[in-house]
Amino acid sequence: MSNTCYVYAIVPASEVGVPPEGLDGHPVTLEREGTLAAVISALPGEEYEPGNIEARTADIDWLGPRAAAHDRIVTWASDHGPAVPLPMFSLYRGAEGVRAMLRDRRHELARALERAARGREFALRVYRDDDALRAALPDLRPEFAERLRAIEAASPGQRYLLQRKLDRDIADALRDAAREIASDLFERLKGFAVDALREPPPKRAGDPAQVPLALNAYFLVAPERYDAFRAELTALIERFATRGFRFDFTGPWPAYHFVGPHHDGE
Amino acid sequence: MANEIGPLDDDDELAFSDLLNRVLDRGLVISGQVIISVADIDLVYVDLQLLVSAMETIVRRNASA
Repeated sequence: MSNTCYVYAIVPASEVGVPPEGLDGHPVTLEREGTLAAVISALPGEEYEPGNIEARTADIDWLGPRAAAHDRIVTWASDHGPAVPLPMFSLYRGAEGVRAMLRDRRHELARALERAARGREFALRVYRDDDALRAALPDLRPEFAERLRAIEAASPGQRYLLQRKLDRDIADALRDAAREIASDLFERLKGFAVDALREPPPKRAGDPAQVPLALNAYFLVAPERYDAFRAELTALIERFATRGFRFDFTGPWPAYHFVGPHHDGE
Repeated sequence: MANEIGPLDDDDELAFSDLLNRVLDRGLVISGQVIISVADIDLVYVDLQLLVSAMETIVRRNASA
């Protein structure tokens, strides 16, 4: 008989709220040990036996609602206080297995909770719109405007070579300008965050219109700084949205990216 | 709660694969290793990397359908 326990998150043992329904509508409870508690669902039956999970992971219709339920519980926990999210399918054998984990890992988990207590995370993607950026470029780099005028005045043979060279230089300049602006955006917003990280573009198909990603960043922001952080972002969006950048901003999320041991506070 | 996922438009697809990336691939990994499931061990750990690549394949298939 299976007595699998699914752990969504780790929270302080003092948490007393009533969680919403978990995976498949199963009740969510807290399993406490010392100063820590695991937010869990007991999953009876065979569905979550590891072999069965691996067999189901190719089924997006199976995975999707469960991913949403996992995020719902972690978000509930984060709304109540510090919460360390665990990845989906962190499964233990029975409540005793969960308590043993809380006991054995108490120092590591307590540190992770301290990291999670610093704030919530915001995600920012900034996409390059090369057409708009190209249109803004003569303003940013006046020498391009001059070269364009020189090309118009040149003989047809020269014009072709000059135009090709200009196109190459413009492509480089677009990339450099986007890189500089992305770094500038990141540094400015980081000033309002307790922690921040940049990541390479996420691997996936179907980026809208294949728009190149200039910045993929996460910011851990303390609640008392939310307003200041959003105000700064709004100002930056107003400034750059007309200059070839599109912004995609979400949050506050649970601190999914900032609970690992590499994110000890500055 | 919605138990079915209809055809996804670009924004939905983006938000959905972001969610999957977060809940599958982020957060604190307590075990740190892949542990093969046998009846008498405490922790069962599914290989999340396998899961993430399986998910990408599905999302791609979904997006091109």
